[in-house]
Amino acid sequence: MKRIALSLVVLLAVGLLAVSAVENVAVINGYPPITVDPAVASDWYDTEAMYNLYSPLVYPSPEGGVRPHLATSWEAVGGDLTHWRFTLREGVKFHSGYEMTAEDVAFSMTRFIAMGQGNSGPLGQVTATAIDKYTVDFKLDKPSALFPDTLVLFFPLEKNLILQNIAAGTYGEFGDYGGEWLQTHDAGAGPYVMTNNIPGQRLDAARFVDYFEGWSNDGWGPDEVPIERLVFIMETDYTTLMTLLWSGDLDLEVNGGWQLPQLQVIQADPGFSLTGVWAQNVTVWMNTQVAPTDDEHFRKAILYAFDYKSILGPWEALGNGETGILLPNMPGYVPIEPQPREQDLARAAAELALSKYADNLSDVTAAFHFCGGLDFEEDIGLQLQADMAKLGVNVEVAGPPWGTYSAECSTAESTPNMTIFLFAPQAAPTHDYYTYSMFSPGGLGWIFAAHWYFEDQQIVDLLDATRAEADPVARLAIYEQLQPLIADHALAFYPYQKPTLFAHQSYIVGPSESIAMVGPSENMHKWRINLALKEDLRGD
Amino acid sequence: MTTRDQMQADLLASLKQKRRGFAKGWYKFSRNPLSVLGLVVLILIVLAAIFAPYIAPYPEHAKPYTNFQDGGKPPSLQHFFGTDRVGRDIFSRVIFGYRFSLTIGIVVLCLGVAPGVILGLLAGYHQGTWIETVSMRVTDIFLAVPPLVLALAITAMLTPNLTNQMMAIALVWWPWYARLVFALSSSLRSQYFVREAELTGASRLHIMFKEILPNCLAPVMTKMTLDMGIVILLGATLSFIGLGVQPPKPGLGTMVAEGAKRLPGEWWGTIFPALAIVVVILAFNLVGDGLRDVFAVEEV
Amino acid sequence: MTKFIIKRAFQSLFVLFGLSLLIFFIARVMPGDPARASLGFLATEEQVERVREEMHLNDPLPVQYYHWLRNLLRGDLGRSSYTKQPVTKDLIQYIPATFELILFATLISAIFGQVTGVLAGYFRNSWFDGLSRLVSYLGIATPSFVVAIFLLFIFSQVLKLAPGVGRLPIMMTPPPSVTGFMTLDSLLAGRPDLALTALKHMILPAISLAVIHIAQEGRITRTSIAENMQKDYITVHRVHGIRTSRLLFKYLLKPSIIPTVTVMGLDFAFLMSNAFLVEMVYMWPGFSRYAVTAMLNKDLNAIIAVVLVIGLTFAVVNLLVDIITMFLDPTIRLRREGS
Repeated sequence: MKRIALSLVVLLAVGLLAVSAVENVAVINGYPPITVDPAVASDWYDTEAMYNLYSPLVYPSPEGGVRPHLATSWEAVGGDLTHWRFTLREGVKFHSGYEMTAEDVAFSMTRFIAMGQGNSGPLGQVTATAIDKYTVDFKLDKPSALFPDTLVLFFPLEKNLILQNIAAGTYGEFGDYGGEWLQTHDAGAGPYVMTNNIPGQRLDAARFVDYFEGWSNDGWGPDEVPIERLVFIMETDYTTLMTLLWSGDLDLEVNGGWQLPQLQVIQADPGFSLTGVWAQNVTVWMNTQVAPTDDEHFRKAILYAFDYKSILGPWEALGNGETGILLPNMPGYVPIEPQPREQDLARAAAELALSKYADNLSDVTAAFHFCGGLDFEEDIGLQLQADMAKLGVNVEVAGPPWGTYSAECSTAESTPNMTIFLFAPQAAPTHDYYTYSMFSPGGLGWIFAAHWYFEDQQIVDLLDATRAEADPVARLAIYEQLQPLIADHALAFYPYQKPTLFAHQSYIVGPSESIAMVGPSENMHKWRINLALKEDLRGD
Repeated sequence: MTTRDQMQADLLASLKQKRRGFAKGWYKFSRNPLSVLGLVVLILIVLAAIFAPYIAPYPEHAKPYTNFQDGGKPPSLQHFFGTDRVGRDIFSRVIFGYRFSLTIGIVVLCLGVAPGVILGLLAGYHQGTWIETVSMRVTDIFLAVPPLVLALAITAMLTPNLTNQMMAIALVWWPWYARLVFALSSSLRSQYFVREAELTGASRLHIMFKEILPNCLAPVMTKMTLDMGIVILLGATLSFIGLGVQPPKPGLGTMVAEGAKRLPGEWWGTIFPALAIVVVILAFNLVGDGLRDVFAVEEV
Repeated sequence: MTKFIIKRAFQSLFVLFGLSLLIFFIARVMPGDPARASLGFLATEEQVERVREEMHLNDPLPVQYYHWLRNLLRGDLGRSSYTKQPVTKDLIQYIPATFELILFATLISAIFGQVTGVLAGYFRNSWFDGLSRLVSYLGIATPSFVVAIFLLFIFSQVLKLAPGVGRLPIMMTPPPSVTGFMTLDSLLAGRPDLALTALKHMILPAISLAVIHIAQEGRITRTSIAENMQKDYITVHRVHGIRTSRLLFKYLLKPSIIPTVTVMGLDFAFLMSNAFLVEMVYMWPGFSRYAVTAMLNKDLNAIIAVVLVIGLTFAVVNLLVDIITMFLDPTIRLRREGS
């Protein structure tokens, strides 16, 4: 008897040891979101977690555009592009076990528009109705061929769960629409379930076994298994992160704030990997409504005066380079001036001589603002400053904090002469983001159009045509036509494109698809852990 | 002797006395080796700041200049303090950085001291009236939070640059002098020479500025010297957060912040500017302490 | 005595009211659009306008102030445009972290300040005295962020003796939050190992905060002790053969307590605002860092709340210091009540 008991105990101990020895956890350094409410989230950081906890109606496709996800098909009803009908996938389970129906989707859309924040902007006014259990109708206020594409940031939530957890609020019968409750709970249908959330500090999530896409091992190796637990942390000190990477406490880093020497170390070490995920278009807008950048020749001078090679220098090995109004790997990309992409001081001086400030160059000052704290943005400003100084033009560089900076860019008069932003198409995986949003008066405005130029009617008309054109091939032709027209006004210069680089342990494998134009690849459903490799590298 | 000769003799005597007074003060000051050390260091720093373009090996590095290939080099014979990430010589930038630090100190104290002193004089002289109550309540409000908090709030709202930084600190600094001078002038008010002046019909302005003020000068000046250090520290703190001078201008606090991101590998980027800040503040503190001993001031 | 306290309390209330006006004015009048800042990238003009209406930004200033005051009296400090949570919730979350750090720092500075001060005063003009004077000069002259960076660099990164940034190592799950004090909560949750780790993580930031105060308090104590050493009553005690240690800590320390207590009180309030530099360097999730983030992000509600909390702390601490010193030295009480 004693012997049986003893052996049972030993077995139990061994079992426990085996389970705990292989910890199937991924610790990810991104910013744990400030908010996990899909209707309120507006920041890139909020969206990172969103794709793990929730599922959108449609999903970005590696070839561009979108593909079915929670919705299986859709069509424009009635031919005027204001009425869209979506057919939903059957048998999709929310984290609570409840099945998703058109009621949930319609409710979520109504909520999304009613709360009217952040990501709902591009959608305009949408009315959603459930036609039957798996069909939803969306009626728009303006025709748009691209409506389905904008739904990548629309995440259905579970209607009943929300209604059960409403607190006092400003939305009439819906109170606060569950906003308070959603801070620490989740009502989604994504691959991971929130188990613990300290907003802005830490988010824990566990694998949702009944996730509708399933966890099949197709395309993965025999030792590669899904990640069981996620821990999102917030650590902004990259020296600490390096230590954590070395000790194995950090698995994946998605903010990409490494210094160049650190990146080189990571690249050289076989235990770590660098995965390029999507490119960000570094754009320096030039404000056309404020002197001296109100003069087209002055702007062109800046284009030619900037030393593209110098700023590229050490980053070249990591794959930065040419870019323009679109990103080079997008279909329909048309290269813009300056070609070749090098500094041409003579040409710049010639442009300056043609500008209306030619006679009093020493009196003009161009202000270059960047968001305080970002070194490489500051470097671009410093480089331009040094370059323009050679031509006798004074450029002022300043880095106000984000609050001031974004407020400055809200009107044409207050926007600085030059503002720098990175545009990563996480909002919508289409050309629309880089064209309509930025160059049409109906676009997003603010920092998306910090050039404040809408006077070329031809461009405005062509942009409208892209939205009304249902045939993607014809639409692409319009985009190709648009780029040289826009480039001719010299509304921006593009120093380089900066790939988003994820640094991670080599035993964290993925992502299984790399969507060149758009995030988010921190959808951890697309990653696996190679347990055998982990044992080799970590030996525990 | 004629009256004129008498006057001349008096003048000479008083000058001699002033010089003797000064000599006496200096003697007292020099008994304190630390204070003398502070003074020497201070003079060196001021000279370096004034003649920066001639002393710094690479004066153009304090202006628009980039050379990313040279970035992040450790201290060497070519670059005493190494280079920062943009490729600029840190030693030269530190010397130019002293210009900003000293400017902030001087301007802020000039801007902040005068209004504070005047307000304190007024309040102290008109003790017990509404003037005193209102002035002192307003001072209290400004002093209700530590100076850094208000200065931070103000600078964060405006575009960060040198002028706004100085203005914000000055706005936060005047209350201290108002309080100090109020305490001094309200106690001096009851002194016999003030009563005398009143009785002989001197105007209020005369009493405040010719009788009371000169007796406040010693503590005010001591405080000003000691405050220089704190104001420079405050300026460095604001720059550290990013609310001070903007690139490429070399603010000491800004340089510390930039360099801190590169610890521990490129330690020279932050350690040397940090030491520079400590040295200048220390120098002012030592000199201020020495002055305090000379004037035998207690209440500062 | 009570009359004095009530009078002071009223004064403080008035000052706080004035402070709220001042900071409200500054926050609302300065350029910028906080509505836009809180909505993020993709918001349209209509959305921004709506939020502006919600925040009463289009109303005249006095109306805005009235709304704000009314909410304050109800306990509603508004919503932070940065964390998107109610400001009150944020405060409850972040204040304990800073308080824990400050209390620890005050403890360290009290002990070390007193000890060095007493020893320096006793052995006045010896090498120890000179050394401690030099060190205290350095301590006063060094900005706290410089100390913080130096300590982090030397002890954590070079010597690897102390842990790095944060309240706990990344992989450790924090204990359930009862008081907000990491050490207390860990002990309450029955995890003394966690408490010890938390304590270790507090050492470097607390020292960074304490340095300047050790220097100041040390100097004051030293001067006071050195002065009192000359007094007759001390000579009498010595002649009677009282042990030196008893002499130091019973007879000399007491009279020097008053200026020390005053300074400690002021220091505590100053620490609340200065702590942010140290919190920034050590990634401490505390109130001061929240304050700086609020200011940098034009988070109006948070800025106003933060300034008022600091002002309130200042006022309360000053009042406490006054009461304590009145207890310790009856002559002060008499003097005050007379005025």
